[in-house]
Amino acid sequence: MASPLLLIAQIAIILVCARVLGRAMRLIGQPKVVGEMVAGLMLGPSLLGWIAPSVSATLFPAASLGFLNALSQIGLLFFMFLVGLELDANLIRGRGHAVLVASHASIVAPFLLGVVLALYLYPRLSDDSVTFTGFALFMGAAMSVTAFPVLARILQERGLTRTRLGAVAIACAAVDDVSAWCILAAVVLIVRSSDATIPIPLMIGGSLLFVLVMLTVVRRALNRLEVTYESGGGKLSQDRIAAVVFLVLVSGWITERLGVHAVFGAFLAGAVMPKGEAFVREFRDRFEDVMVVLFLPIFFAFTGLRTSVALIDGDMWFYMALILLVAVAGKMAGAAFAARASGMSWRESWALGTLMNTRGLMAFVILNVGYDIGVISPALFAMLVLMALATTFMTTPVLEWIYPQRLRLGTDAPSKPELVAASGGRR
Amino acid sequence: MWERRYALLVRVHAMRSVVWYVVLVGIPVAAMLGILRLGERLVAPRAAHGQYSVAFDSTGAGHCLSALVAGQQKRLNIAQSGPKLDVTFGSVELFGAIDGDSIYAAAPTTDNALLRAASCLTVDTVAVSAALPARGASDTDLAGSFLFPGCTTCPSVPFRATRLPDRSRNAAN
Repeated sequence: MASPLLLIAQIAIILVCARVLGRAMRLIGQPKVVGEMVAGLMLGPSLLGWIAPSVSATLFPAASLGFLNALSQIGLLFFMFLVGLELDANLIRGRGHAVLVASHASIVAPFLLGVVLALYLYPRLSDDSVTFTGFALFMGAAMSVTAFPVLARILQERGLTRTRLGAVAIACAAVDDVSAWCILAAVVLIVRSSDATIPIPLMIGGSLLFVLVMLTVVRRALNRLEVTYESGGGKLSQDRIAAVVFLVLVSGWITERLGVHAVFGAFLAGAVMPKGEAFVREFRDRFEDVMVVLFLPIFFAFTGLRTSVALIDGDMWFYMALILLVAVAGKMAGAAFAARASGMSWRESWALGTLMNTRGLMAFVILNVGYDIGVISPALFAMLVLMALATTFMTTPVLEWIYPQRLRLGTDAPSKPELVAASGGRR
Repeated sequence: MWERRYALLVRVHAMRSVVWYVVLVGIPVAAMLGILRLGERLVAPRAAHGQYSVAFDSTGAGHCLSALVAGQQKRLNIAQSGPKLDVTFGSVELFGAIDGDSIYAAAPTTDNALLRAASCLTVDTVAVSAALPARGASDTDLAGSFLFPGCTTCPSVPFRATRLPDRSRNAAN
């Protein structure tokens, strides 16, 4: 059993490492989150446990990880709430066929390649406690995810938010986000159905009913919350914040109880929140700092503590290379060809593919869900974590190479009708 | 005139998008369904991962048994990635593979002081050999032995291990 002192020391070390590496990554033009992800990996058996096993055993004894896990799970719930909160249907609505085709193709292409890859990997990295369907669908989901928050940050830092490319990328990522969570929910249901503690019809029926209630009753109640927020002079009382925190926790509990992971409930709670700009900003401001500074680094560290690169040995490096190749080819080429078919220039299309290839922490979330439900083995988990890290790391330099600063000038985002019209003709 | 031409342009564009959607989304989805059916025929290695409670048969086990279990919880952890296994019993970590129903894992070098003091580590190696119950059997037990290759005076230590109930394969990790 871990003492409170040990837990405090663990959190302090995690925070320092995350901040230092986050800053270091900024110096080389990477988003801070990449540094935080690397810091998490470094604290695990892949580096600290390898070079200083006794220090690692003292700082992060196996018996103490339950506390870190609990903190990381709570943090993850509120992070997913924020992801859902940021999701605005207006980003997607009216963006035209370009976005619809590009976003769906950028999901389907890597998903298909992930399923094909599963044919090769299933006998080599899985076992008969997992069905091929569950394994293949999970591989597809892990390959097709895009990190909406990281992508938004990269677009902002590169000054691309107001360009046509930025607008299409954000809309595509939003569609990807929703699709990926729906797919993952289905995968979790399929995997857990074999040893479910509740009957499958109840799992499916209960999940559908829960979504329906959230989209109707809860959304209406939350709309009232926004009205009172506005009439109250734009101030959020602690009671209202507590009510939303309660909603996130209860939603997470219900989806976990239904056999779907708790993150889906939290995401849905965020997604049904009213999307008034001031209201969203207020919530984001209240939650974001503590999330970004405290909980996300703990989540990354917990992921790192689960990741043992030493498990990847011999021919497994070949599997790792295949996974990376399939992930990059599927996501980049899928989005790029679809964008080109929808009328964007080749350069813009490949830039969009590069942006969509950012998996970042959303992949970490999906991989942890897969690890928790036992659909992926520890070695495959390590490979997929490295793949997620590599695809996030490569985004900024590849984007700079494909779509350098000088070419971005003068490509301000057109209005929605212009975008639809623009997608009709090639340039 | 312009309105009609614009409407036509929009219709042509919409038609083209539908065609691209079918090519880029519809066909891959159909292909994926086919692959999922094809993959159902694949056979993956037997699952052995999990945490086991171990019971030793002390008759004829010899002096290495007490050195092996001294001060340890009698828990065997097996982490599995495909056929590859990482077997942990207390401070002894062994690497191996599953072949059909048989498990074999060995530690290339072991610095277990108790085993060394009991002269069970002549060539610094401990191994475990075990068999899973037949496919489809409800029994979750593992039957096998700890071996001390190279030590002619060390009899193997037979055991039976019962898998502890846990839904997740990775719960022990």
